Amino acid sequence: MNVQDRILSQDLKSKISRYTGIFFKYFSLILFALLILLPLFWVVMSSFKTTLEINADPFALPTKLYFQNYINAWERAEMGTYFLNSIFLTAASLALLIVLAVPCSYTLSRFKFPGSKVISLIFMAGLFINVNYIVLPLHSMLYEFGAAIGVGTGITDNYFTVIVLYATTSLSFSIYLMSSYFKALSPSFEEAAKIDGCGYFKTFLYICAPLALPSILTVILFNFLSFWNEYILAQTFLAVEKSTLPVGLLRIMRESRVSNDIGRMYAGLMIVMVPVLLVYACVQGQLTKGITMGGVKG
Amino acid sequence: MNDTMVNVSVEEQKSDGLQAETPIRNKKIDKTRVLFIVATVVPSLILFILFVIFPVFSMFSTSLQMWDGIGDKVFVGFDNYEVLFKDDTFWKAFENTLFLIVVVTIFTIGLALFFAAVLSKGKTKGKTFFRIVFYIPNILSIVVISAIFSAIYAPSYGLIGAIAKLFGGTYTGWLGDVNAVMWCIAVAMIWQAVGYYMVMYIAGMDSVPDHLYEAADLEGCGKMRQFFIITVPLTWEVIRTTLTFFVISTINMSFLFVDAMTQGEANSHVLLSYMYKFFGTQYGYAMAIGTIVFVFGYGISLLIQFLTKREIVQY
Repeated sequence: MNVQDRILSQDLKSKISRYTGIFFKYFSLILFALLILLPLFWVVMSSFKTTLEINADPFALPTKLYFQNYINAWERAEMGTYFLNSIFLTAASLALLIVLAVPCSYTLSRFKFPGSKVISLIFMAGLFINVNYIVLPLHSMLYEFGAAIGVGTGITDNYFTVIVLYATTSLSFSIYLMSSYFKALSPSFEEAAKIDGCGYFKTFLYICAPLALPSILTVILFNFLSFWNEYILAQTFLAVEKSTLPVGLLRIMRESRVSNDIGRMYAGLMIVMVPVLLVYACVQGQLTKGITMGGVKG
Repeated sequence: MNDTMVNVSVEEQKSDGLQAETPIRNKKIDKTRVLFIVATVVPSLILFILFVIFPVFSMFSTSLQMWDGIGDKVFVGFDNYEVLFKDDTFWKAFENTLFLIVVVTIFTIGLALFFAAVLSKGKTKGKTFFRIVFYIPNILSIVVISAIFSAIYAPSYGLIGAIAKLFGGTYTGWLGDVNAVMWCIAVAMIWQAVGYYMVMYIAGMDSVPDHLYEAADLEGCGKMRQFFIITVPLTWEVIRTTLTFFVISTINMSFLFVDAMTQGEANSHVLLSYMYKFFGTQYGYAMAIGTIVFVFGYGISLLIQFLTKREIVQY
C-alpha cells in the first residue's frame, strides 16, 4: 500500500465513523421523539373509539369519531365539575401567590434590614421541602384545629385552605426565581422615583413590579402547571365531589378497571391533558427560558 | 454566556445598593420604610413558617407518639421506630425507593446529558422541534402519565399485550408482576424527567465557549472525547446541583407514580406511598416513616454534595 492509498483509506475510515455518528445521533433523537409522541397520539386515537374497538385492537384507527366517550366523561364521571373546580382553584391560588410572593421577593432582594439574611435563608430552605413530604402533618394539624374550634372537617375540606396551601408551598420557588430578576434591576430606577416623590409602595407598584414582569409571568406559568397538575394535596384535603381534574381522572382510572368503560378513561385523559398542551404550545419558549432563569425546581 | 453576565451585574448592584442605602441607615428610623418591609415580608413569612416549616417539626414530634388521628396522643418514645424496623413491607419500600433512585437517576441523567450535548452545540437539524417535544412529558400531570402508562401495560387492552399477541405470546400485565413492576414505574419516571434535565444541561452547555471545541477539533479530538474532557468538566456545577435535587425529587415523584399506578400492589410500595397508606389510621407510625424519609433523603443529598465536590474549572 503506498502513501496515497493509506491517506485515502484513513479518509474513508473517518468519513464512515462520522456518518455512523450522524446516523446514530438522528436515530436516537427521532426514536425518543416517537417514544414521547406516539403514546400521546395513541391516547387521542383511543379517546374516539368505543370500548369494544379498543379491546379488539388497540392499534387500529377509530372507524368513526365516537364522541360519546367525552359526553360520558364530562357528565357521568363529572369531569365537567372537576374542570370548573380546577380552574377556580388554580386561578385563585395564582392570584394569592402573586400578591404574596412578588412584594416579598422585591423587599428581600433590594432591602437590607436586621434579619433579612435569615428570612431569605428560611425561604431558601423551603426549596428542599416538597409539599408531598409534609402533606400528612399539614392535614393532621389543620384537622385538629378544625376539631378544636368545633367545625370538624370544615377547615381541611375547604377551598380557601387549599388555596392558601398551594400558594404558601410555592413561595420558596417563586421568591427565589424572581429575586435574581429584582437584584439585577438598576438602583437608579428607585433613586429617580424617590426624587419624583414616590414612596416605597408606589415605587414598587408602579416602577419595579412592572419592570420584573417577565419573571412574574414565568412564575405564573410554572405555578399554573404545578397547581393544575397537583393531586396529592387535593386528594387528601378535599371531599371527592369538590376535587380537581387529576383526582377525577384517578377516580375514572380506578373505576374503569371494574366497569370496563375504557373509552371514557381516555376521554378523561384528554380533558386533563389538552388545556396544558395548548398553554404549552403558546408559551414553550418562555417555559424553557424560565428553567434556566430559576435554576432547579424540587 | 448570558448567565455569567447576569451574575456579574448582580454582584455589582449589590455593592451599589449598599452604598445607596448607607445614608438612610445613619438617619433616624424611616417609619414608612419599616412599614413597607413589614407589610411585604411578614404575611408570606408567617404563612410559610406555619404551613411549611412547622409541619416538618410536627412530623418529628408526632413520630414519637401513638395516635389514630382522632383520640388522644400518647407519647411512646421510639416504639414506632422499633416496630418499623421489624416491618418487612417497610424494608421492601426502602429497597424499592433505593432501586428507583439508582435506576432513574442513571438513565435520566445519562439520556439528558446525551440529548443536551446533541442539541446544544453543533449542527443538528430540527433542534427546536426536539427540544419542544422532549419537554412535553414534564408539563403533564403525573396522573396523566400514570394513566397512559397503566393503559400501555394493561393486560387486556394495552399496547404491550397487543404486541405480545402479534408474536403469539401471552401477557398477564407487568404491573401485577412482582419482578417487573418497579421497572415499569422506572420507565414512566424516566420518560417524565429526561426533558426537564435536558433543558437544564443545555443551558449549562450553551455557555461553554466555542473556541474550546474548535481547538479540540483541530487537535483531532473526537466528539466523544470532547464530551468527556470539555463538556462534562465545564458543566460540572450544573450536573452536581441536579444530582443533589434528583434524590429528593425521585423520592417524591416515586410516591406520586406508585399512588396513581399501583397503590402498592405487587410489593411496589415506596417509602412515601407506604407512609401515605397510614393516613387517618396510624399517624405516629406514618410520621416515623416520614422522619426516616427526611433524614435519608437529605442525608443522601448532602453526601452527594460532598462526594461530587470538584475544583470548579474556569474558562
